[in-house]
Amino acid sequence: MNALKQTLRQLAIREPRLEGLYRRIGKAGGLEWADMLRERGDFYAMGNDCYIEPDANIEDRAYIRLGNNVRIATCAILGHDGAVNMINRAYGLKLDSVGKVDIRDNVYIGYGCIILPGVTIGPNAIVAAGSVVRSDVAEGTVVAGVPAKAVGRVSMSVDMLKAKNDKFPWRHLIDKRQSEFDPTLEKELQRLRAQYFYASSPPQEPDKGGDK
Amino acid sequence: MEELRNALRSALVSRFGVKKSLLKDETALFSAGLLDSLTVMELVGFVESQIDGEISPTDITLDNFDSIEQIVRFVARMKPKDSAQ
Repeated sequence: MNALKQTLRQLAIREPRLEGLYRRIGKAGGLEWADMLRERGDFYAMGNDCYIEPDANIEDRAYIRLGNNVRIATCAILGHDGAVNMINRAYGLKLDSVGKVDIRDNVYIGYGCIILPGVTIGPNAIVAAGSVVRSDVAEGTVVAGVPAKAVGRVSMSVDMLKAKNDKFPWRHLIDKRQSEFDPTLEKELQRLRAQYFYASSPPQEPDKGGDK
Repeated sequence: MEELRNALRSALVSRFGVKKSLLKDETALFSAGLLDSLTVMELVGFVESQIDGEISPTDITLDNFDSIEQIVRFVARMKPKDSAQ
């Protein structure tokens, strides 16, 4: 991590209102962002090996518990129901409407999800992109939709992924990778993938306008 | 079991959108990408409705559900207490 990034990270820890600098200028990745949030102690509790997209909108972090290997794409996680403030004003009441969000070990929250207060997700669960979770997600389940409903089992998704991977012509490069992203192999990986995806329609040469 | 086999053949085309020309009893449904991971429970629910019984989450595996043949064999192996049949 370079000096500027390190400085912005420390600033984000000391002054949460300046965390945007670390996100935008420091270009913090999801692992780095999660690591910063852990050090800052935002969450009720947080396990190891988490990934949190810096653009994820996670409110009420004091009521949110994250297990180990929780990976959160750009989504919204809420520990309160904002409607209560309208109700309080309209009806002259003083009510509270909050809830925990307990995300257990090995959970993936996909892009565009909305997680509402009062739910437990997992362990070993996948929330598909665009889902709205308003009730508990059982262990080992894949959920999708609005509201989110069980559509599959994670164990079966793993088997399906294995079967799919065995057929990939770039399988040997995935085996070689030392981490999720290996810059030394990425170019070749992209080439093999694109070749496989568009085998029947190779790329056209760009029109240089020579006929005009 | 032939009734279940025929019901699966029909539903996979009409309800799950699998092309009839691609569908044989041994055709890999999930591992070949004809169905995706988001349709697993719909297929399990369909099988449950056909056998009038419940399938345990631990039995929802690729080995049991990747083809018509595998589903039929799995249901045949189910103990009587697992289903109402």
